[in-house]
Amino acid sequence: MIFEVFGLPKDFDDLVNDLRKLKATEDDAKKIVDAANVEAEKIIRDAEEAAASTISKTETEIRRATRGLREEADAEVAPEVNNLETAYAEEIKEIKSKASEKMDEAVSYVLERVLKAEV
Amino acid sequence: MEESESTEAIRKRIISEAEKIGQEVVEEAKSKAAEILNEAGKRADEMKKSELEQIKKQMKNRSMQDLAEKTVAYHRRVQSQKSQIIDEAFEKAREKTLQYVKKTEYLETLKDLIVESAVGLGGGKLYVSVNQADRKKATDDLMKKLSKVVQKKTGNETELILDNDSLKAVGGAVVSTFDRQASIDNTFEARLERVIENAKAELEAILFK
Repeated sequence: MIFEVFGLPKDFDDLVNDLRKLKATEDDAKKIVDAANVEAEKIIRDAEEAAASTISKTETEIRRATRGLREEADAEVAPEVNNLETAYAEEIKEIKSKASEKMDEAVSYVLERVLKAEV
Repeated sequence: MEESESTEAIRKRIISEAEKIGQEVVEEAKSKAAEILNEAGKRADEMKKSELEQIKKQMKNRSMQDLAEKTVAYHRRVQSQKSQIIDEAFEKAREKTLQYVKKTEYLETLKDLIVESAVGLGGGKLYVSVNQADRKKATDDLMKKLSKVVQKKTGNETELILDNDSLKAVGGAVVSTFDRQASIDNTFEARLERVIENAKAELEAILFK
C-alpha cells in the first residue's frame, strides 16, 4: 500500500520509519526543552541565592556600621563624660574642703537654732 | 531521497523550535534573574540608606541620653555628698546638746524654752514636762517665777505646774494645756527635727558657699 505524505508517495515501512524518527525527534526536543527548564531554574535559584547573599551581606554591613556609629556617637560625648568625672572629683574635693572649714560654724548655727528660744 | 529530506526537514524544524523555546526559557530566566538581583541590589541600597540614617540618629540620641543621665547622676552624687555633710553637721550638733545640758547655762535655756512654749499656748494653767534630771532644776519656785514671766507676756493669769511624768529627752520641755488638748514640744530632739526640716538651705549656704 502506498501512502502520500507531503505530496510524496511512501510505502508503509518508510512511513513507520519516518514516524519513529519523528517520535525520536520529539523526545530529543523534549529533552532540549527540559534541559532549558533545568538551566532556567538553576539561573533563578542562583539569582535568588545571590540576592539573599546580597541582603545578608548588607545586614552584616549594617550591623558592623551600627557598631561603628555607636562608637562614633560615644566618642563624640566621651570628652563631656570624662569632664563630668573630673568635674565631680574636683567639686567633691572643694565641697569637702569648704565643709571642713565651715563645719564648726554650721554646727554652731544648728545648735543656736536648737537652744535659743524666742522669748 | 526527497521523502527522507522532508522528514529530516520536519525533524530539524522540531529541534529548531525546541531550541528556540529552550533559549526563550533560558533568556526569560536570565531576565528574571537580573530582575531579582536588581531588586536585591535596590533593597540593599535602601536598607543601607534608610536604616543607617536611622541608626545614626538612634546612636546619637542614645549617646546624648547617656550623657544626660550621667549629668543627672553627677548632680545627684554631688547633692548626696552635700546631704551627708549636712547630716554630719546635725549629728555633731546633736552630740553637742548632750554636753550642753551638763553646763550651767543650760538652766537659762530650759527656762526660755518653757516660757516660749507657755507663751505659745497663750498662758493659763499649763503642765510642764521635763526629763528626770531636769526635774531637780524645775523647782516650785522656778515654776512660780516663770509663771509670772508668761503672765506678763500674755496678759493671762498663768500657773505652770510640773508634770508628774518625766520626759525621755536630752533636754528642753513639753508644755501642755491643763486639758492636754494642746501642747508645744520644745525638747532638744523636737527642736533639732524642726531645724533639720527647715534649715537645710541655710546650712548649705554656710557649708558650701
